[in-house]
Amino acid sequence: MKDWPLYEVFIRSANGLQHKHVGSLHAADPKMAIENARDVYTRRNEGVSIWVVESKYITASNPEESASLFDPAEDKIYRHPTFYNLPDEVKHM
Amino acid sequence: MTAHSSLEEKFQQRIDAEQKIEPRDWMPDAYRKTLIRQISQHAHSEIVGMLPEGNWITRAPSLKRKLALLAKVQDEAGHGLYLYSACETLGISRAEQLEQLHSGKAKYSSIFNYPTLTWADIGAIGWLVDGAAIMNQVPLCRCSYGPYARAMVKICKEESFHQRQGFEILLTLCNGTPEQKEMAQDALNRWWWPSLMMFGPKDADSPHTQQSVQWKIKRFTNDELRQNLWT
Repeated sequence: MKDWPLYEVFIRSANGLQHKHVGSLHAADPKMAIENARDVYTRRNEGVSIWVVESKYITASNPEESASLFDPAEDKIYRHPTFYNLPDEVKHM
Repeated sequence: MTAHSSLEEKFQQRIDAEQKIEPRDWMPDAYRKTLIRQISQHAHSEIVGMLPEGNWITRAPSLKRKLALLAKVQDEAGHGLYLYSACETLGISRAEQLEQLHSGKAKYSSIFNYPTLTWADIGAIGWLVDGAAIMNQVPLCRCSYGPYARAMVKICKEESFHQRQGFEILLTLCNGTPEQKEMAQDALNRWWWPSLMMFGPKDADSPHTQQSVQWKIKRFTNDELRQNLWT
């Protein structure tokens, strides 16, 4: 077990919804990862579909770069509908 | 001000603002260490907790009780796995955690060292021991460390069935023969005090509590939680 890779587990809780990250587990191969994910994460009808991916294949953004990545969106209020004024006569848009 | 102390100050400001800390965020070494100690202790307790209950699966008095106990023991295994994974995000491997359990460096809840003499003990464990665990675990859903808090949300959802099935076992015994009643009473006599002791040493003797509360790893002190179970 010591050398078994770590897998990230994603569960679709119902058709029509996206798969969502629920946690991780160790398994010898992808088939075992699916079987273990079924036992660990869907004991109470939490899912209808499982994705597993070896954690090492996930590339993540660096928290130290959060400011340069995400702050630029903060002052772009013109991207939201509330930035634009409508006369009262226009009831719905 | 040194660069390091300013990092620590920023960290505490994030905590004070109720922001969650995620695995790749900067955190003080002591915060990381405290979490590893607490989460691995918690994970080990879930796993060791399966041992006394697993012993009773074949001796459960009916098919219904057998199914419930099997499901409960399977839940404990799942809880252990959620927590081991959460702990691994702090940079300690699963194998290291197990080595620390086996060497005695990491602890587990000593409640599971008490003998389970009769079937009523399984009821008392569900009602009182899981009851105390829930009292401890619900505030941990708001722990400042994201992966731990998320694991606790899942655990708490599953935990309430454990307490109810334990209560029902005792209630059924209490409505049974005088011998069954006595069995239930005997189990309660032996388990109520150890259950209260599950919350750890009293606040004055708990070396980690104050810092853990400041970091919002713990939301309440040992004595506050103990009092909550009692009232």
